[in-house]
Amino acid sequence: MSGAPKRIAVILAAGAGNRIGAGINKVWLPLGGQELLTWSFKWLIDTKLFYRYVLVVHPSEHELARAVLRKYVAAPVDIVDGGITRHDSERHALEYLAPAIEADECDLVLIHDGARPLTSPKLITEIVQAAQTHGGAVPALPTSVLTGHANQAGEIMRVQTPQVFHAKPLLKSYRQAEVDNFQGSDTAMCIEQYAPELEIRCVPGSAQNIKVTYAQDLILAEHILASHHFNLDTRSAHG
Amino acid sequence: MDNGKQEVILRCGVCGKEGLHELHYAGRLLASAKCKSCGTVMRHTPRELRRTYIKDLQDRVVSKPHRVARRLIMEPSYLWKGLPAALRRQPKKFIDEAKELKKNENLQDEA
Repeated sequence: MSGAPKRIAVILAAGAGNRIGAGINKVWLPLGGQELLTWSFKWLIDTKLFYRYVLVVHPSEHELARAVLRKYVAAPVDIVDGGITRHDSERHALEYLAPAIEADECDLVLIHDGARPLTSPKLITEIVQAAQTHGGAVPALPTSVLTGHANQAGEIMRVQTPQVFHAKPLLKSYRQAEVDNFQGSDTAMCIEQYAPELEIRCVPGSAQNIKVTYAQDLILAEHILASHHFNLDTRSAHG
Repeated sequence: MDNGKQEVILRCGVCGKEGLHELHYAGRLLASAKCKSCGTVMRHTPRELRRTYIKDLQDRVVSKPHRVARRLIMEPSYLWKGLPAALRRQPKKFIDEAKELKKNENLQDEA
């Protein structure tokens, strides 16, 4: 493994979108001709920064995931069962990766929300570079709402994904959180709680890095993709 | 997807509830999204949808050989298992897309 990038990307797609028991999980919705989730893989693969990919899905969606990945994702992807909460899903993925992390086959882990299909390769690269240097990095935008994380200057920021951290402290944090029954709302929260020595840098996020939550988000995402000719190249990180 | 229709849980920007939405697609573009709780419908304007559809159709035609080639590399059996049926479905697919565009225009006129 020496010389090769030792970074692993995890995409969370076990979302609670189907908890009402009807309709499909939004990550499997068509967006620009392919499932919404597959765009995230495209941008991650385009960066060439990762040697391994993990997809966390609901246990009932393994077959669907395999079929979709075979059709649209040009890299092998390991599929892992998700948990009840986002935090549980992250922990499942990290435990799955634990042998690689403990064997020094992984130095950075990226965790991304599958419902954010417009994270450009440029933004991913910036987050990875910042995490490599400082220990952890998250994309963030200023917000007027008093929720979120404070950045280096103490301003309240709205945090996005992907979030990238050094692998060993990340795994250790999630194991300790399990012991304490702690549930973080995102990866950074767990790191802040259990690895406060790890610096988390806020990198300028992107307004187009939307999380599909509302119906109009789908229309907007489609419009952004079409206006970029279905290719978010390096010029569009902060569009 | 059933006849360009899909149901999914999303949050409604009007009633604020997280609930079922019925989505209608024209080709690979979302034509409309209806909240089944409050009935609010989000849709492109007909002009915008037609313009985007034509642009998207051009992109689909241009990228088709590449997409088929990639699929065949990843799954060679697609040549006899999937491709013939996919080709047979094309005319109906385009007719359905045109119908969905027309339906969207009619709904806008009524509104």
